[in-house]
Amino acid sequence: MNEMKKYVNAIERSLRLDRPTRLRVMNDLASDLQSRLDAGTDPAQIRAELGSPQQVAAQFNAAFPEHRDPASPWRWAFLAATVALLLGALGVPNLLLGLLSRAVTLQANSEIVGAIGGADGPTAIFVTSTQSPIGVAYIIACLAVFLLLGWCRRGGYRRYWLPIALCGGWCAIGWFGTEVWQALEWSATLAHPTPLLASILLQSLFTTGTWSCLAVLILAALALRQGKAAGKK
Amino acid sequence: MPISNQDPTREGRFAQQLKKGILEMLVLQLLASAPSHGYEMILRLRETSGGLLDLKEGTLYPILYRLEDEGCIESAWQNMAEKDPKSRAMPRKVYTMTQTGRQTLQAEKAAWRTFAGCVTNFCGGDQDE
Repeated sequence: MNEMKKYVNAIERSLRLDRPTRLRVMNDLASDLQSRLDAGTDPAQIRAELGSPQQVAAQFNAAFPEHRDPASPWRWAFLAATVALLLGALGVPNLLLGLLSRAVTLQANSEIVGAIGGADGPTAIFVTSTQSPIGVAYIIACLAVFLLLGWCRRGGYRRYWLPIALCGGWCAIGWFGTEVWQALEWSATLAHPTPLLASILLQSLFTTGTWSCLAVLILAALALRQGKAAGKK
Repeated sequence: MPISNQDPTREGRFAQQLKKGILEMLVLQLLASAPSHGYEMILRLRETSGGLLDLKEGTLYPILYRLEDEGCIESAWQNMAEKDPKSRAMPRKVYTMTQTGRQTLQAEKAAWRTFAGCVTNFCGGDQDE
C-alpha cells in the first residue's frame, strides 16, 4: 500500500495540469488503482501495466492540452528570494547570531540589537534593525514576480492589478514620497538644480532598488494589456 | 489486435481515429446498462471488444470529464464495502448516466447507424476482393 501511495504521489508531482483537473484526475486514479488492488493485482503488476509515474503523468498531460498549468516553475525561486530578503530585512540572521553568542547587545553594520528585560532567553532579544529601503524594494519586486508567474496567470487578467499595485505603491510612496521629495526640497536651495537633481534621482533608482519595481511594473502592465486584449478577442 | 495509442502505422492511425470517434458512444452505452467506475469501464470495454479496445486511463478520463461537463453523466463517491465485503474501505468514484446522456446516446447511435450504413453501402463491393 505504501508502495502504491509513493507511486500515486510521484504521478501527481509530474502532472502539469491546472488545479481542478489535477484533483479530478487524482481522485479517479486513486479510485481506479484501489479497484485494481481489490481485483487482486499486486502493485508491481499495476506499475508494469500503467508504466512509470512519469509515463502515466505524460499521458494525462497530453490528454488535457487545454488544462495545462500555465504557471512557471521559476516562480518558486522568486518566492524563495522574497522569504530570504524578508528574513534578512527582519534581522533574523542577527537574531540567530545573538542567540548563539548570547550577547546582550550586538552592533553590526548599521543594525542595533538590544535586549529587553535582560538577556536571559531567546524572547528577550529584540532586533531594532533599521530596514534598508533597498531590501524593501527587492522584496516587493520578488513577490510581484512570484504572483506574475503563477497566481496571475491562473486567473482572470484583473489579477495583474495586484503586482501593479504592489510595485506602483512602492514607486509612489517608497521612492517618490521619500527620495524624490527630499531631493526636490534640497534642490530648491540651488541656483541650477536640474542636472544634479536628475543625476540624484537616477542614482536613487538603483541605490533603493526601485529599478526592480519599475521593471516588474512595466512587465505587469504589459501582461494586463495582453490579457485585456485576449479577453476581448 | 488491440488498438494502441502508440501504433505509428497507417492502419494504426486509421483505427485510432475510428476509436476516437466512437469511444464516447461506447462509454455512454456502458453506463446505460449500469453505473460504473473507471477501471470497471476499462475492463468491460476490453472484454466486450475481445481485447480490441484496450484503453488506458489517459484516454478514458478526458471522455468521462467531457461527458460530465456536458451533463450526460454524473459522478458520486460510493462506499464499496456495502456492495462487496471483500473490498477495502476506500470509496470509489462511480459514474451514472443522466437523462441528457440517454438522449445523447440515442442521437449518437442513430448517427452511427446512418454513418455505418453509408460506409457499408459505399465499401460493400470490396467484400469480394
